[in-house]
Amino acid sequence: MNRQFMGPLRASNTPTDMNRLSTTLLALAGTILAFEGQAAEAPVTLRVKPLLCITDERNPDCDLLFEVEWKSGQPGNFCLGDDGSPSPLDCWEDADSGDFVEQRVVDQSFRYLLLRPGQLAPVAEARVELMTIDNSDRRRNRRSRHAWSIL
Amino acid sequence: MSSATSTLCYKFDTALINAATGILSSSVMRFRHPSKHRNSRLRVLGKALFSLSLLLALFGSSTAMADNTYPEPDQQSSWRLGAALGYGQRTNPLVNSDNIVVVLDLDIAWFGEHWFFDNGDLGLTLQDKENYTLNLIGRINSDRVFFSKTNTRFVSISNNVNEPMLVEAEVPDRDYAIELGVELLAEGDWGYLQAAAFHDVSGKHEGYELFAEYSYLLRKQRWVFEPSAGLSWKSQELNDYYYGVRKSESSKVFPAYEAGAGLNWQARFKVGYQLNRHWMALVVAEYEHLNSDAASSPIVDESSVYGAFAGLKYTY
Repeated sequence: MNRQFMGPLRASNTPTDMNRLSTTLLALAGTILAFEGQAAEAPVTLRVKPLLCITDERNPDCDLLFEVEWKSGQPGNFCLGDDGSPSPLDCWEDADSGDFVEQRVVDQSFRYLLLRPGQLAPVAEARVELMTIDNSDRRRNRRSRHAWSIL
Repeated sequence: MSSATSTLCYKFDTALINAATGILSSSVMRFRHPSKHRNSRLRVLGKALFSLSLLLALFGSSTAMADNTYPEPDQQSSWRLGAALGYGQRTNPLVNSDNIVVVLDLDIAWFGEHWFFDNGDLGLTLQDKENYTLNLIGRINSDRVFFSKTNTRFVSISNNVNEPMLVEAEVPDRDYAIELGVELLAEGDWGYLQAAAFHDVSGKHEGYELFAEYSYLLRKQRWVFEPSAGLSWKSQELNDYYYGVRKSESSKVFPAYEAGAGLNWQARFKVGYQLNRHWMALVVAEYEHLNSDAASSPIVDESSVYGAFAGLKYTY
């Protein structure tokens, strides 16, 4: 599935981004309210591969295949979302594990969120990091040729 | 050079090398044993790769857990601070010398709008255009470092009646030279070019070096491949200062020798794998062929310099 990432979240500390995150979480929570579930006491794990996207001037984004896996010690209702879109990517009923695969073009950092009905805070999250290599100052690419340095 | 200056230079040598590379002495006798040199080169690469696999194993899952805590990228800092930990060696072409062992390679650089400091090089940017950058550079000549790893040895030679005789053989000392030059940096889709011309301004060798290196960086997500090749022309004055033997220094082991100008060439290959925002696994291999006038010197044992390093680099 090809999917262009649209989420504009850049830094989670600014008021705008906090508002957007809250809206996203509320929308996700609203979507999964239809599911009945019980509070999870057991730990929930969320694994995402890959977690790093590297861009530079020649390659401004990454087209990556993401593999998402989650596991819970207790069966329940879960939805997987991300902090850039209000609708869930996938939901599971009375499940203690699940997986999700998607092809996504990434041009900024984002988080996968695993949520339970009735809870605003995600039970698990994984951050996919965008790392931009800035080559605009070509002096940073020069090599100082000293015998005591090998890199 | 006065005794006090010699002592200072010696201390500077030792501090510089120990601090920057964490040199461990390997005390390899280097009097023309080709098979030994070949094995030594293989050992250099083998040890380097082994150290990388060990470091990667230690690196383990802890960094995978830390992946979720990256800060967002900020505006690029003026500083570039990093350190590579691993194992590597650069062979020393001089006789009676030890290889330069590298376990820690520091990267300390600061880039202002005009001035910059890059691992010992002090630079002033004269022009920064779309296609090229022109810098004025002050630096310390790197040939001197090989002379920091020489030892006094007793070697066996034959006298007139073919009886072996032990004589003391010590490579003459040489000073660091401060050099000033201009440097041209250019880049494009075709790759990266660094060309420079340097002249000694400290009155040590009073010669010149012309240098050019081409590299091409290929990035494939986390993988980085960077082959490069370069040429370095050293003037007669520079070559003779470091690789010549004065009459006052000559002996049965090291007869007087005058070196002319010559051209070195070199090739290197770097492979990196970005583990996360800060950590990268690196393997570097390089080869430098000395010009024939330097290689023919009685104080030079090998006509090539091999280097290899494998390790993990942390960039702040």
